[in-house]
Amino acid sequence: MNIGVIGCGELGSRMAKRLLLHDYNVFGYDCCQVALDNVAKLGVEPLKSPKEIASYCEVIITCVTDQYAVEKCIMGENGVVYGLKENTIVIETTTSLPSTTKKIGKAIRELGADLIDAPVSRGIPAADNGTLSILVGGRPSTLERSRAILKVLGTDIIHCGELGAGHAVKAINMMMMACNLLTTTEIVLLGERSGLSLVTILEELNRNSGENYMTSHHFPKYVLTNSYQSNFSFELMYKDLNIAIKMADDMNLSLLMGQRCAHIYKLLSTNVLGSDNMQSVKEIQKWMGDKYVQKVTTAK
Amino acid sequence: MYRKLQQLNEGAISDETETLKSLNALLYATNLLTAYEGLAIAKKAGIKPDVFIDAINASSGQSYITKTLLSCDKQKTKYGMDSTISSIYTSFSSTVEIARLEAVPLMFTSLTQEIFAMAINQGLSADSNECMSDFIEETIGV
Repeated sequence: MNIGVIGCGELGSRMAKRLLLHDYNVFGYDCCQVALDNVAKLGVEPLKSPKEIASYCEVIITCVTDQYAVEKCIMGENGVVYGLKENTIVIETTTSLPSTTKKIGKAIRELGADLIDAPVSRGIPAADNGTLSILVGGRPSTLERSRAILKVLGTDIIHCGELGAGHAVKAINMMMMACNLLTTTEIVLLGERSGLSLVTILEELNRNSGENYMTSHHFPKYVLTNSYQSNFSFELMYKDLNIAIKMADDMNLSLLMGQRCAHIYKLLSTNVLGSDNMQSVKEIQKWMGDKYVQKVTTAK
Repeated sequence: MYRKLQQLNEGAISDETETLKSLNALLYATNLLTAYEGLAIAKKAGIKPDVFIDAINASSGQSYITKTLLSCDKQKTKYGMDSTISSIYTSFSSTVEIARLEAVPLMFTSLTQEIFAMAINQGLSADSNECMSDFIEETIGV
């Protein structure tokens, strides 16, 4: 089977690599030539446009930066819709807006093909290992036709509802994760300031009702070992948070936690310097609290 | 830290356990509001609550709240928090006060205190923490 991957960055390239390992013929397109050259070295056949991908492939996976890029690669000049064949399945994995997904889904269905939204979570290591969590929206029959491919990429494939439901749940999950990250960062900062060790704080929280994914996975694995490496910047987190906020806004909801969280990430993305724009708990803590310590120390 | 607050309040000198208990309470309360806000958006978007909770529990937004309180699989923990809005508010208030005394900025979690205070002022003091779900839905406009 021919599978096309549009968007061969951090995540898309890893998806392509796993599909190659499972003997699929993989074609790729990226507007960045360097990204395309890199996947070509893995064995991906590079093509010149999304339209060309659509004309070669029975299944197309899109993994681009945001809803605008999704719309451009599907419906823009030389987009997927201009080369699409009947019965093709488009698997949209970008963190995007449900309203965009519904709009492009309508256009794709009118051409006799179908689309499912299938944004992923758990990050780069899970993409490498094929253990992503995949939140799917769309027709159950199309999900079943796509399942064998999705199983190459992830272990938890959850059907969330109709088209756009996967993107909705992903946006809310990102918002909840970001809120829990800020909460845990502040609690840990306060605990450490009172003389408690990070190990003690995490052990106690994880035994009790304050436990969340950050206290049980992220902090022990990355913060405790000081080994956090991510290209996921504060700015990208802010962008993802804005998807949840835009979605809520479209439904006339005024968020409390989500809005405050987004505001803090906006401040972080413009204020934190010297971190190579990488999201780091230490950077958040430094911005929130350690500056105070530094000033007191300097004054003494 | 907690000792300092106790001393300031001329009360009994407490220990590490009390500090951890109070930190846990603020984390719990904030996770609770985050989970309820997430659930409120999902419901408004037409996603079935049980499907939403299953998806979150397989993803990075999960917490004790999504795994127990929202999935009806309640467990009693050492610092179990199945209690009233006012008792939770009291439990985490010492942490917020200590942060103020120590000049530790709680840029995010300070919102938790404000929201719980709003709920108490609207007469929900003696209500169960689960009533915060309705309060959040009403406040954000579901």
